[in-house]
Amino acid sequence: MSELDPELKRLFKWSRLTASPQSEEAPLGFGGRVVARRGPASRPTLLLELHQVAWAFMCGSVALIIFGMVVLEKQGSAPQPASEFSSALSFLASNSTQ
Amino acid sequence: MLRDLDLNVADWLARVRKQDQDAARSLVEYLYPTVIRIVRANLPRRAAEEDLAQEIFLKMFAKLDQYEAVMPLEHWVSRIAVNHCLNAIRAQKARPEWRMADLSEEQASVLEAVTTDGADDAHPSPTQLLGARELVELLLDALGAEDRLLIRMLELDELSIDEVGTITGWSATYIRVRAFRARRKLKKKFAELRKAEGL
Repeated sequence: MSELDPELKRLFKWSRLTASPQSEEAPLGFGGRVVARRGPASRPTLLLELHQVAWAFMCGSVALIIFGMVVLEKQGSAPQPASEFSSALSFLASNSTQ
Repeated sequence: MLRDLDLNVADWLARVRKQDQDAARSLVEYLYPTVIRIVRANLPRRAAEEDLAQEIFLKMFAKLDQYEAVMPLEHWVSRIAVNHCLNAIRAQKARPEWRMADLSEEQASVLEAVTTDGADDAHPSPTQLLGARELVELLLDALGAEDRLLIRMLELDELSIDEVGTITGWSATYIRVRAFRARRKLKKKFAELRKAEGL
């Protein structure tokens, strides 16, 4: 392997002597800044949030429709109260006699 | 907390992958010395070391799912750091033209001192040492990004070829060949410098 000239070696040797030990500790708050810039990988995007809202809205709507249909179905199949029949009959009877 | 990381990197990484912010912060602090050493040695001109270190950590987090523990985490991260620094150096605008006439009086006197016979026995003053450092930086600046990295690791940090291979991920053969060429270029630049100064 090629070696450096003695003069160059000397220059590098002198240069090494100047290397002052710099702190290798992370500056205060460095880790926090990196993590803040990184953000959670699974952070919901606006599109994802809209999708979730739309999905929840759709589920709610379907549930409401089903509930409404059940209520209507129950109302449609339920027997009319007897009082309503009797009042209707008496109304018809009174009108027909007149 | 950092000792825990030493004990079980896999568990710690699993926590980071599950978005544990404290674990991520501790991971950054644990790896900071490894990254900042590489950044300081390969800092592009006008770049702030902290900005570059942040970019490296962000890249590390982005690639964390690719880490498969076939090598120590520090080695994996140091390779990311080396590649990121090399790309940053390559991306910067062309180096200003290297002009011998730009040597300061102090640098010129250092150049004369190191080329004088018997300089090995000399006791350089702090100013001369500083001048030597500036001269070395000037010479390294005249090399390409990879050559500069290699010379710095081999000649300044006095790392072995194996150690350079561990940090960079390059093969020993590649390092030897590259270092041979880098030293040749360095010697040529140094000869030009001496010639310009009439030494």
